[in-house]
Amino acid sequence: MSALRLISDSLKSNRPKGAGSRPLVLCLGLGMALVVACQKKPGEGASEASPERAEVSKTGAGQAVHSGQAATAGAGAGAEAAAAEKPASDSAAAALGAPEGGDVILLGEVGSLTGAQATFGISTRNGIELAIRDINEKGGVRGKKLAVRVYDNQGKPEESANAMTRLIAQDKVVLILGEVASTNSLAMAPKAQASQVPMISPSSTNPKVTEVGDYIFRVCFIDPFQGFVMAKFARDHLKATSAAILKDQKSDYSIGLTEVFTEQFTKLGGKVVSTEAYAQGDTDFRAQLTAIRRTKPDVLYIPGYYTDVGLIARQAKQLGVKSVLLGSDGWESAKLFELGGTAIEGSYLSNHYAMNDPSPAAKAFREKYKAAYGATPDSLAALGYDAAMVAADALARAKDLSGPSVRDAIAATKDFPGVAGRISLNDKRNAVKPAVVLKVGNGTLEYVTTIQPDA
Amino acid sequence: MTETTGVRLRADHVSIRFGGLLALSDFSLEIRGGDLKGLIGPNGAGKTTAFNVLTGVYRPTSGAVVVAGMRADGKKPHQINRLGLARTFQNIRLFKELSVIDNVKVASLSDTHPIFKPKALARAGRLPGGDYWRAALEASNNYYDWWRALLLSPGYLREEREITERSEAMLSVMGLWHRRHEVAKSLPYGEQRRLEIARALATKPKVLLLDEPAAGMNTKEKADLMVLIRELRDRFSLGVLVIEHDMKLVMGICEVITVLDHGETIAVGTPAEVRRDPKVIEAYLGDAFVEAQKASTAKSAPSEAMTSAHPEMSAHPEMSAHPEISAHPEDRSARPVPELILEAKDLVVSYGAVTAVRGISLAVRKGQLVALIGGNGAGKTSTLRAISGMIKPAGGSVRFLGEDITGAKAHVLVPRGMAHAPEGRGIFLNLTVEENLMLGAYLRRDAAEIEHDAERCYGLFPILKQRRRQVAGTLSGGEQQMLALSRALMNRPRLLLLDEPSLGLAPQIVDTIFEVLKDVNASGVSVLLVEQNAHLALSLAHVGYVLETGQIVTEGPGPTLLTSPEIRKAYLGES
Amino acid sequence: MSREWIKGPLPVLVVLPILSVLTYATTDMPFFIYLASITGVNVILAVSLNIVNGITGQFSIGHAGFMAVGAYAAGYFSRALAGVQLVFLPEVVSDQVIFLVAVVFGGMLAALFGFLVGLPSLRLRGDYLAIVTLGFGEIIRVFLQNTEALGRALGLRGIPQRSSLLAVWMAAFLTILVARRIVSSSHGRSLLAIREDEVAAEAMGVDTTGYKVRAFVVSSFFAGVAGALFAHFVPIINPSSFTFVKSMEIVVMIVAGGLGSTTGAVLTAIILTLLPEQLRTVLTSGAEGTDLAQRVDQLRMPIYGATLVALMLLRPQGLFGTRELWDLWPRSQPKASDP
Ligand SMILES: Nc1ncnc2c1ncn2[C@@H]1O[C@H](COP(=O)(O)OP(=O)(O)OP(=O)(O)O)[C@@H](O)[C@H]1O
Ligand SMILES: [Mg+2]
Repeated sequence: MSALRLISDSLKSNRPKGAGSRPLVLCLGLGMALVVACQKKPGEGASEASPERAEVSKTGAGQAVHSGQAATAGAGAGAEAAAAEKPASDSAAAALGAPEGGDVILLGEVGSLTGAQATFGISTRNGIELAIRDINEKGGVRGKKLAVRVYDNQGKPEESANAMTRLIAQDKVVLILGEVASTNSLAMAPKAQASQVPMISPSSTNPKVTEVGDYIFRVCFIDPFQGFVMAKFARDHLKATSAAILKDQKSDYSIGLTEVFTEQFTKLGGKVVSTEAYAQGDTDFRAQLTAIRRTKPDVLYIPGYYTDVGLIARQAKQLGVKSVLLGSDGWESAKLFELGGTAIEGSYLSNHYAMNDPSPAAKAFREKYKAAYGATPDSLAALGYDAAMVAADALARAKDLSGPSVRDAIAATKDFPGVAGRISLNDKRNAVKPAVVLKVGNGTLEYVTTIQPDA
Repeated sequence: MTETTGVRLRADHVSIRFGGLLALSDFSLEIRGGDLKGLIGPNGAGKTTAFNVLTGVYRPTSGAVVVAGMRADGKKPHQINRLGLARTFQNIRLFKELSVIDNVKVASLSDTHPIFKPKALARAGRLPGGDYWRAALEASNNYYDWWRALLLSPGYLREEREITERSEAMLSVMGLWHRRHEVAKSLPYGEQRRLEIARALATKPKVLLLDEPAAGMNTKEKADLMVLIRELRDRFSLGVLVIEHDMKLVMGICEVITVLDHGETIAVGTPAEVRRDPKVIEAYLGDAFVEAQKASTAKSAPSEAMTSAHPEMSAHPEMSAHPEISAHPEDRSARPVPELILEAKDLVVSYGAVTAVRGISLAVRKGQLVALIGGNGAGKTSTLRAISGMIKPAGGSVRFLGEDITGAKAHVLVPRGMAHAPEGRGIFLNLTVEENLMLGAYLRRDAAEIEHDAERCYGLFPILKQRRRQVAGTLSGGEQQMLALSRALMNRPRLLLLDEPSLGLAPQIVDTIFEVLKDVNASGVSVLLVEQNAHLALSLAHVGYVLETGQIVTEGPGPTLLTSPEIRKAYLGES
Repeated sequence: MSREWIKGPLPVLVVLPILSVLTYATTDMPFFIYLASITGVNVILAVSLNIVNGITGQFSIGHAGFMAVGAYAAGYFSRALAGVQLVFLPEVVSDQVIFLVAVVFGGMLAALFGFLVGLPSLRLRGDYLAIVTLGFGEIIRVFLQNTEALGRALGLRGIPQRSSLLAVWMAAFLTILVARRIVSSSHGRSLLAIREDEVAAEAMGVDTTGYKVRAFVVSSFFAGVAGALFAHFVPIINPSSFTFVKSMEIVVMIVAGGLGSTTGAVLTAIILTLLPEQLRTVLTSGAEGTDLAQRVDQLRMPIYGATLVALMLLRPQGLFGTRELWDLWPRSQPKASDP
């Protein structure tokens, strides 16, 4: 009652009624007229013709179907349609052409060099820098040196779009590398697509990134692939027959991994005996863990972030859960050992790259990197290096340096020997490549094995 | 309703309680058009509180307030203002950064706005809950149609012009027209008070409440103000209620006076009745007043006759009880010249384009009490501020204890022994009385002595002791003044700069304060005093300077100045 | 009198063609357009926040929250209607009409939130507004982060990019015009009075709560409009664009410009938005093709911060204090003391 009075008090204008309601009536009338005037766009196809709509439907598809590394053909078709529908409406694309002149080929990079995600950006940049140096030492590409213009996006999507526009319109780069965070890549991708400048993301794993269009590539696997990897590892290496899953129900990432893991594990003859859920930031997981303990699974898959995993591991140990814990790259952090203590030791997680991968290419990369930056490269640095290498390889193969030619060259990448595994790009422009499985030790992550994608 | 026709404001057995303190109890009052009533009482008696209750700042604990025939208690201040009640504030509350004319414009209403049409009001009155709707209508008649303002519709522009015209007219009436484009805070104190009245009048009140309108004015200005208040009353047929500590003013203009003490109404009557009331004498006026009064009734031309006989005694009869105050300076001025404490040379202070002080030179010697007097805007406050480092002088130099301190900031000067109790008090409003006092002594390390000094302050002003845990912002005006002075004393300064220490104090307390000053001065502290009460100041001062428009026009020993005819004429309100 | 009505729309009539020409002339300069759009949005944000923080003297630190409301509301609206066209209108025009409606819708929803947030907190004096707006900003962000339909942490994608230089700067111009006209109206004088002394304003018949709420609602409306425009030229809107840091950036703009000065807010919004971009040019010039070019970009933000610190040390009252650009010319000092 008093609240009503309050609202009426503060709204009080006390103009004579007629005058006061006139603008209101006008607005309402206008609104109604607009509603009545609405119709479908004449050129609109049944469903997928508009790029925006295609996008929307893909969101659905992407979540409904998870068949390992390659998403469904239906969604793929949608993306292709989207790309075809809106060819360079931006006149900048025309102006771009093929900048063959000069003695450098300029690439662009957008990364978060400052802000909360600065460590990601800096690792990536170091990796790319190292690659460019290697390439230039070997004489460059097409007889020209490569150069990279790096812009900081402070970890923000609007800054990413800004930097992207600047790279394309001002600096007229041939190709763009970036970003780590999928959100930022998603802010950049439409700009690249519209101006027909190819973009290679080193480490954005969200499936939606490359769905933006046919100029967007990545040199890492997509999220759900890790579910596949872990399922295979659990069956083939650990010989597990039963598995339980504890997923973060608030994270697309976790949900995606869970679905693929379940599917693959079942397909390989195992049995998922229970699936429990939590929400990021929870601190008490005892109820879920107790339920899981009852089913006595061989392995417990927790596709979540290290912040929660540490606590989960501790509580699992307290409750006497005997299962081996399995995880994903969300676990990777120095904090994991601190949060999980001894409870986390002996668990396994999947990742892009292992710091102690014994393969010669990886070893050589580690040494070079250490010499240049005085630190052991993390997976982001390795992926940055690979992205730049793939780009250079494609530039060398391309028929000329125009956007479409470079795109075609990138798309044709097959069995490229990256330091983080052999890279082949599939028709969804995602990398088909192996993942590594690491074992959590006392403050270290040890390389265990490499899991190949199904051919 | 059973309103007597013509009653515009009525308080009916109003009481208000703050925690354990009954600040106002069983207060009743009626104001009709053309009434001119007074409200007096010692500091902290509850006078301002009464205003606050009438204007809706506080909701009374019990009792009723009726304005223009409508229950007003429980309504918001702006609604009550719209019913026709306007006020000024004891501690001037202008919109400081706005121009003079904008201050008035804020309060000006548009007559032509549709809701002023009597028909609309009448219609609203007939609605269910008519009172509420009518009040709501009136309450929001300052509401301006946003859209018309954004689109600059011709009607809006016309109204805006009207507001400007009306505001300018109001400023002319109050003699502030030539200042209309200046920023309010740059006006001298007396003009700020007049601007407050102008602003209150712009709301077109039926009753005007004035809280110590004469505080900070000199004798002559007070006389002008008396005329002005009467004029305003007649011109706008206002009801006026005045709070004032200046008895000459209150007794001079009010027809009926209500006297409060500790929240209780102890007397109501004509000035003559109140003056004779023993309870009022005891609680407020003090014996000195009565004696002076007797003396004055014995002679036909009271103040003139008295002052010519004894220069120390004045229109402020309370001083007559302490003849030794004025005897003092003469004793000491005979001694050899003591060392210089403060010396200002050719000091210039400007505020933007306006030069407030134009080359003042003055000196304060050890143990001296030096008074600066002069009319409103003469540059007294600016001089003090420039000396104490609150503002940077535009020219000239200041030496303190032999060192050049021109432009030095206050935080450098305070540790060296300069304390400034500024006009407008400058106390920490969100801290308690006790904390304020302790902050005055924060540079000192002698805990026992501090305690002792604090006790001495409480001894001087017992009411502060009672209020020691109260937040300074809720103190009465007079109590704040006492606190400001006490805080300056807590610093144990070598030079005390005082700006209007008697501002807003009851006659009795003015006595006390000046006695304290005398004692402090006698203990070796030099004092530079700015005071509107020229008579009081000069009678106490070893040296006096008279300022006019930023320059020193006369200087000399206090008592000598006091007898100078020009000064008597210009500042002591004699003709 | 007879031709007075022209005064109202005149500035718009002057600016509209200028902006149209400018928009037409710069169609093939995507980077300029993007930068100008971001700048325009920041101008709208700063000028609108200045109505509350500078003119009314309240302290709101959740402006990004209202911007988020506008951005998501308009973005969602536009995306839902992306495949719809109005009858009798060519596609381009229809798109622009829907865009306009979306922007107004975003603004209105933000204004509604402004009302709901402002009403309880503005009835009280003091710092409640700061606390409540801070909380509001965070709640909105957390809400967006956890709402499936709005894309969670990933953000809302696929909003048709219909904004243009004309749209953004017309909105910015209108915001400035509204702010200026409010200040110089009786309405604005009441707001200034509230800033100067709330008790006195109330005693002079100013319905302080009502005025504060209205000022806050207007301010929120424009924040919503800014967000709505933002959503139509940034390919993805994401909760991380509307954090407390963003709110503080806007506060910094108006403090640096001088609280209460509309032109100050405009100027600093422009300078502070373009400064990092300008630094980018300066820092990378001459470093073409070398490793250096890859290293210096992250220096921009520290330099930006240092510039702000320097500004506040040199001019603690902000660029213009409470005055406006034109007050700085000596001619507009009619005062002195005329005798
Ligand atoms: N909000 C409050 N809370 C607590 N005490 C208060 C409050 N307001 C006033 N008081 C106390 O009530 C008493 C009356 O104060 P009031 O301001 O009415 O005095 P006054 O008669 O105007 O005195 P003066 O002449 O000094 O101005 C004072 O002692 C004051 O400390
Ligand atoms: Mg008082």
